Amino acid sequence: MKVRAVVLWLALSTCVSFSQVVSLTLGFDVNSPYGLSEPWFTIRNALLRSDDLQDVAERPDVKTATANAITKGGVLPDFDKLRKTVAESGAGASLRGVEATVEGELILRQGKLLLRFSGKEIVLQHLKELIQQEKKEPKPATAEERSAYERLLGKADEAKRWRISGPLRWKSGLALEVRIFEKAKPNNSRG
Amino acid sequence: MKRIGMSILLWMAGTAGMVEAQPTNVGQWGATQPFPYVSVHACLLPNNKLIFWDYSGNARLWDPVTTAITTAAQPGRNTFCAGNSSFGDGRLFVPGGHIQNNVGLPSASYYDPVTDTWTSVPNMNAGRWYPSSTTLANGDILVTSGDDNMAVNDLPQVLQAGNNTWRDLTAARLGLPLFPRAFLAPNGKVFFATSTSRYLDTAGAGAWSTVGNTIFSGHDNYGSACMDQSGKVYWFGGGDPPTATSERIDLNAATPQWGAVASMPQARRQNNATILPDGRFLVTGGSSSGGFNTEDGPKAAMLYDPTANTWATLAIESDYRGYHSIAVLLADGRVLSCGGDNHANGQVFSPPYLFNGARPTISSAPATVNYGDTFFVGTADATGITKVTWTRLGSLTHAQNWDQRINVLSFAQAAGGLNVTAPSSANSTPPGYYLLWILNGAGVPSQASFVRIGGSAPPPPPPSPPVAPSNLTAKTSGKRGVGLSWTDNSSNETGFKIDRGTDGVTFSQIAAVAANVTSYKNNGLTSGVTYYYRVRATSGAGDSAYSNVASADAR
Repeated sequence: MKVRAVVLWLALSTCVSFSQVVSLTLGFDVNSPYGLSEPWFTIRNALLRSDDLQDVAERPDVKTATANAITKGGVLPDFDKLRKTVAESGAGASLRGVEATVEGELILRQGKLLLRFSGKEIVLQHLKELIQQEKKEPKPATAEERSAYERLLGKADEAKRWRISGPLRWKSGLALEVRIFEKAKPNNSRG
Repeated sequence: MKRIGMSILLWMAGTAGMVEAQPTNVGQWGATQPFPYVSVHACLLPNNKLIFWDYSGNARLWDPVTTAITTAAQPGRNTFCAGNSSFGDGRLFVPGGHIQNNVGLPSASYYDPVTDTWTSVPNMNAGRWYPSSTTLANGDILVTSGDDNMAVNDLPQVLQAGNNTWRDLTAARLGLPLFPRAFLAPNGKVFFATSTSRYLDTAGAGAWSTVGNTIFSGHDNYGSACMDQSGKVYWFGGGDPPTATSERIDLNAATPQWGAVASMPQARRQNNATILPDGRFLVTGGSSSGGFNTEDGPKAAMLYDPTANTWATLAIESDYRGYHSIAVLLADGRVLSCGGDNHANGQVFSPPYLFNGARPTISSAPATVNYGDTFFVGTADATGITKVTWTRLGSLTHAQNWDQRINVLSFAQAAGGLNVTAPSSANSTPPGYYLLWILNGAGVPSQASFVRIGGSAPPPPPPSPPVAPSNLTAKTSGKRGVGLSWTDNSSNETGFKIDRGTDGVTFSQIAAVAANVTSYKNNGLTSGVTYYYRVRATSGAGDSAYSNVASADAR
């Protein structure tokens, strides 16, 4: 298990060096009364069988019904396909949402924030709802998380490149809700 | 009431594989018997009693002959959500159990049906909730998976039956599904029929090798798996929403892989698959609707013939049997189906073969046989017997029978009976108690005799040395270094030995690396010298042949 974790970390580091999508956190709703733990291996195997992800954590975070994953080539996967894979896995599960950690160039345009990465611009938005919550125990975002977008707006001129984590929305154009942010470290600035 | 009856008839008429509703075709369910508890776990014992327990580990004994239910000795811990499988002498081993959901007990114990007592063994490395328990060829028991504290216990452990001590398979830590369906395979390894199927070699510190993927990834989710007499493993149902897909893998094939067989007439999850004396599989219970345990009504039993690859839809049970139900073959050839959340009762099914004429009878059979023995089975019906089988006593929970398996036994007519030959391999027939059946030309089985095998199990066949690595390449690497890489062609190596020489003829070993490693860097060399290398795989069974020789110059 430790070896697996190290391999995952190494792969993650590689992604950081060559691309701007650092990692994904996948949130699931499941039918099992025992939460994500019970159907996890079915879900994970289905995800690994698909071509969308490079690796998926061996163990999920059962308290938040989420699991970490690494994208292939550091680019965002096809989320509709990912959702279909989970739905058809036979695990009695659905993909509730995805949080992404992305590094890119912050742009302030007409009072609104955007992030440029992998040759595209993504709209940044206020945090609406956390991915990290088990449906039986809803977890509200903290005040700090809820105010993340405004705080980032106030710091936009402090650095060019930022690492931002938050829920991704893709139904009507790609958008990233800001939950956590930090300045990108210099050695991670390629891409 | 008439509407309900008509609905059932219409439903039956629309069901694929439906046959004329006579007991000779569809079998017959008996009356429903109340049970004091839901039988979440149930195991047939060598004394022909069925021990079962509920969500709190309340243990009871059910007598298949009288249907009486009596109190058994209590395990002294909550054995709900534990594993269960039998030792070679008929004791029932129960590892793990329930503290709360996803939090398992580290304790383990066994039930002795002779003395009606429970005895503890040393604790496991950590808790196990939903573990699998698999009897090995030497009578030891492998325990895998199960949640410790909201996370799966990834250390496989072997309880050594001879001294009740644990042997940890420290090189084989791996996260597995809960209650992974595992089978002692013909090659002596343990086959895990998980969606990514693997062998676990329990020798030494343990080693995994990947076999292949199931077609449908969701069987793990409360499908039922079982093995036939020829080393083929089947998946029936499972998934949410449930599947009708059935799959098979032949573990005796050179390269085993899952392939589809005929789909069940109806999708099911939380179903139970039971091996019958004639080698067919009876699938009972389960839900056909999506959701974890949707009570969508009683279900017809379904019968799979692995030889013809066909299904038949049989009679409908009276109760819904879903999550926490069991089904077990009895010594009289019937099948008890019972339990399931909110269903503290049981019902016995008489398969069609019990309506196909007079049953042959066994007048005598030995209580114990050894591997490869030819033994005498007394019967007045010897001339009409066309098949002799035995089935290992069933041991069930959570839609899986962990112990059941079947062997077809070779036999010859003899005066007053049959000379029957016991299997010679403990891999196909782990030591323990079996129900011995004789069947006539109409496929009608006798009542079974309990026979124990394993008094003198032969040692497992010696393992084969690993396959030699290939494609060895050597490249100059940095200052005074050479980098090697090769292809690992073995699934059972414990490591690789690396030899070096400077003339391409004489070599000496310079290093050893672990299993599955396929590269090595040789540093500290002398500049300007050409170095020659070869690699071989190694295991406890010996060394493989050498790879090709590769060379490179050190700079």
